[in-house]
Amino acid sequence: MTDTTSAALTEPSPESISELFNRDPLSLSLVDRRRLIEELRAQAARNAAAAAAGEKPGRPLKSSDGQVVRISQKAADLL
Amino acid sequence: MNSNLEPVDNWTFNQSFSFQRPRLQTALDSTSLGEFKTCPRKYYYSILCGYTLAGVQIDLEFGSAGHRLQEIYHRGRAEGLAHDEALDSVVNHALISTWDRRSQAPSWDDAQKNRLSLVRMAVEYFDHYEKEGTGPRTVMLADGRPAVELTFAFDSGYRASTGEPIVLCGHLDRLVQFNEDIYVSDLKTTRIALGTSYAARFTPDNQFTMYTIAGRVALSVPARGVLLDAVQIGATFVRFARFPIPRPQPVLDEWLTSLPYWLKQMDDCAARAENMPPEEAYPQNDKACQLYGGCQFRDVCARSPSTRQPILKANYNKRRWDPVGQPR
Repeated sequence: MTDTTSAALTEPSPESISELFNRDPLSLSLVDRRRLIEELRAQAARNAAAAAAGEKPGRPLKSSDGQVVRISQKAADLL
Repeated sequence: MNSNLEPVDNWTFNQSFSFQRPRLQTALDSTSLGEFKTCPRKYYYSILCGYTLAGVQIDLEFGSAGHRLQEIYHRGRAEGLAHDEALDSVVNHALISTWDRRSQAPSWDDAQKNRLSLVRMAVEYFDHYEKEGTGPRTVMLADGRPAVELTFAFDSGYRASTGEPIVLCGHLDRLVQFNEDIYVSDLKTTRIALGTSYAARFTPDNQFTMYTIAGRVALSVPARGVLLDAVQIGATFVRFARFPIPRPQPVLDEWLTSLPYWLKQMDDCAARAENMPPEEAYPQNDKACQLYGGCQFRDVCARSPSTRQPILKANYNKRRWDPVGQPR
């Protein structure tokens, strides 16, 4: 059981982050690094908004199909 | 063949150790002194022999990486780079230094302290204090260089039984002006929540007291104490807190007064090790085995003396520890 609303608050845009983090860093351009920095800034802003709304940063759980998903601590406490 | 040679102990061919008495360390950084104060046997294994648990020591490596990123950022800013330019240098270094070129994959896989959390820490940390705008300013040295990643060494005033002076040495992250005072700035990354109880663990503290004395004695600045930049690393977040950790002069005096006691103990252990098995000359402090989540040598000390060497050789690597000769 997952809380996708909370997940959206605490999870970065997954493709961008994982794609950039799994590439050889020597192949990354200045533009790539700037994109990475902006992604992390956006994630920080989402975390700050979640914290202001009383959420704690999310923690990973496994869903029934074995996929790792992330839900907020508040939602986890309700499970 | 050289490949069959075992790594030597740290006290051989090492300028931080006595040329007259084996195992006597004559240049002490806060880590060496701290290890001896915690447990002479731990000091023997980790500093004199150089044993460290095999595999990635993620807390140590993550902490060192954080220090390096801070140095890159503040040097860049002091040399005129804009915030975003300095941050790009930091992120570039973080990505390259945490990439394993052999496996073409990130080199750390800890759930909390990993490549992503290092870069996240850098972006959020430097953004946070840049936006705050009222943070500490890097002190500029008389020669115009920013006071970042400073190496220090000064005479402790203690003479070993060999007549050699004992030097205190190490590296300071940065000297900063914070409000009206000058502090030694130090970055700590941790997995635990930040609060007054976290800050309280640094008073008293061997490293912070020694750093304050180093600021005053070796660098001739009126350091008020250490400005602790604490960063909590979570799986999906980072949090920051800044704590001024003052060290009044009477506290520094007390530390310096007790220093000869420890240096003499260290001197005595080295002397005894010339006439008995060296391991026995450095006694266990068996009240320290559980501290800080458990000593990395607890499983070694738990065995009978005759069975310890195979465990050390099988489960530990050797590292060089030379505070004077090797920068951090």
